Amino acid sequence: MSDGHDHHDGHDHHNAPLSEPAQRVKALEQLLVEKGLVNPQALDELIDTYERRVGPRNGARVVARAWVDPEYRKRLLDNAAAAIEELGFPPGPQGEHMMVLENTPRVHHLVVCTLCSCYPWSVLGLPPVWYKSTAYRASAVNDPRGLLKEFGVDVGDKEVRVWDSSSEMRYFVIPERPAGTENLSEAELADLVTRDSMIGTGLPKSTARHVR
Amino acid sequence: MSAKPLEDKTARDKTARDKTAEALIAAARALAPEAVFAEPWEAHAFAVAVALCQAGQFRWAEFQQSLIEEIGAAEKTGRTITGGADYYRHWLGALTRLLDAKGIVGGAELRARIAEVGPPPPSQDPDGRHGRGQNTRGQSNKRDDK
Repeated sequence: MSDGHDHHDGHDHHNAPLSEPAQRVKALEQLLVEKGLVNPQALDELIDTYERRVGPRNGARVVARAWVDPEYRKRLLDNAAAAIEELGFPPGPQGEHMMVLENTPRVHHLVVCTLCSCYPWSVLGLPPVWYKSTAYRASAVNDPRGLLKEFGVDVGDKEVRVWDSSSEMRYFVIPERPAGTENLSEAELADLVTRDSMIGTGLPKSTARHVR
Repeated sequence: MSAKPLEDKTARDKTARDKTAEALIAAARALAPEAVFAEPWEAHAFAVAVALCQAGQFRWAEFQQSLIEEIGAAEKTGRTITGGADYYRHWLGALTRLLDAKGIVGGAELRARIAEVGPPPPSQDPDGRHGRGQNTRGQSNKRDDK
C-alpha cells in the first residue's frame, strides 16, 4: 500500500506534478462525477476501447471483405455504416454518416478534415497526430500531390480527389487490391491493408513484402 | 493506464515492478509506435467528451463546432497545430467552453476546482492528493488558453 510510491492513484505516473491541462481535466472530471454526469468506470472503458479495441484493423477487415465479396462491396458502397456494422463494428459517435471511396486505376482518393479532426473512428480508431496538424490539413487541400509525395505515394497520372470530412460525413478509402493476391485468404488480405491506405496517404502492402 | 492489464500478467517479481512497467511501456510503444494518447490527461479529456455526448448532454456536432472554433481561433493568429498535446488542449478548451455555455459546468466553478486540485503536491509527499498547500508554483504561467 504505502510502499513509498503512489501506485494507487491510477493514472498519474510516479509522483510527477500534474501539468496545467492535467489539472484542468482532473478538476472537470471530479465535478462531472459529483454531478452524476459521468462515471469513472465508463471513462476507463471508453479509453480502453479507443486505445486497444478500435483501430485500423477494423477497417482492414472491411476492406478485405469488400475485396473478396462483391455483394458485400455493393452493400458497403450503398450504405457504409450498415455494412461496417455487419462485421461487428458499431458506428459510435463518429461513424453514423460514412461514405466509402473506392480507389480505381484512374482515381486516388485522399481524406482530410480541414476544420478540425473528423475521422471514421469505428473503422480506423482515433486519428494519427499528423492528421490533426495544421500542415496536413492545409497541404491536403493546397497541394495534394506534393503531400502524397511526402508520404511516399506515387499515384502517377491518376486523378487525385480530396474529401473534406465534416460532422455530416466521414470518408474511408478502399484502396485497390494489390496485384498477385488472388490466392490470399481474406485474413491475409486484411494484413496488407494499412491505416494510411484507408486515409489515402498510403497504399496497401504488396504481397512481395507479405511473403517472408 | 494502457500498461496496467499487461502488468498484471507479467509483473511477477514485485521488486522489479518499476523496471517491468518501463519495459512494458516500451513494448507497447513498439507495438503501437504512435500511441493513441501521449498523456493520460489527453485520454481523459477525450473520454469525458464522448461520455457526455453518449449521456445526451450535447450532440456531437455541437462539440465539433466548439472544437472548430477553438482550432480556428488559434490558427487565425498564425499558430500552427502539431496535432499532439496542443490538439488536446484545444479539445479541452472546446469542451469546457461548451459545458460553460450549456450551464453544465460553469467557468467559475471549474476554476475554483482547478485551484483545489492544483498546484501539484511536492513529489516527496506521496499522499498529497489534497489541494490545501497554498503553493504558488505554477500560478504565474496560469493563463486561459483562449
